[in-house]
Amino acid sequence: MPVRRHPFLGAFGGILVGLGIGLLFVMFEFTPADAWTIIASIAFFGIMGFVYALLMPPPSVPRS
Amino acid sequence: MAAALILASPVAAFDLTDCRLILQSFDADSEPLDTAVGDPGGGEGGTRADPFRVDYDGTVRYEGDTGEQPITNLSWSVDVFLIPTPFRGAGANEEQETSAEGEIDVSSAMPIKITGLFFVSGEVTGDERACRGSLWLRLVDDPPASPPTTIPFWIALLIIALGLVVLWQARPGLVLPVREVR
Repeated sequence: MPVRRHPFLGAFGGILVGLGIGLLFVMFEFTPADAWTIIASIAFFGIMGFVYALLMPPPSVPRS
Repeated sequence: MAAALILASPVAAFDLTDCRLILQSFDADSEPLDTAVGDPGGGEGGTRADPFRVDYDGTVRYEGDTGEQPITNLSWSVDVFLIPTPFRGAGANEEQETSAEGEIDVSSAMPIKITGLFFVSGEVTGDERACRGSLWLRLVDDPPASPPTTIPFWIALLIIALGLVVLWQARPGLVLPVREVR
């Protein structure tokens, strides 16, 4: 059965998560990647979202 | 104005290339808060361990110079965490000015109050010269507020929640065959 995937939507979702976490890093003064903290957070979660949507196994086939 | 924006690559000190910049911050009552000096020798303050403290309701006074040589046909820009900001511009500097000073109202320069630790970098580039630098800046509030009591904290959580909803929508799905109804 064909599987419909949404990698770019996944990347977008990941970017949003990364942006939110990056903002929290700033507020809590936690800068694990120095000057790259925000960009690294957005890039990391964006790639994670892309990979998640691209590689995650689909739900099992419903039994009729 | 351009001299205030001579702030580039991550460094351990308030290091500037080919120019000098003195920053002084004042709180809402115009009381001095902090000072940072940037110069080619490494400067003082503005490091991650000793960030330049700025009051959101206060001001920042700047005083910068480029030595004896002016920077002509210049363009300047300021980045926050290496992300470009609308703070950028250009000018001919026909008067051959080598120094500039002025004051920045923090709340009007930053419409959303997000307190915390920021990496600010910038540059002024001209025909033959360029001045680049960066510093760490701690934006504080008076009285100090812990992040969970501020609106930006909840906006950040909302953005994360929205991202998780989008991720849920992005999960793989099966394309089920269409059955004809008789």
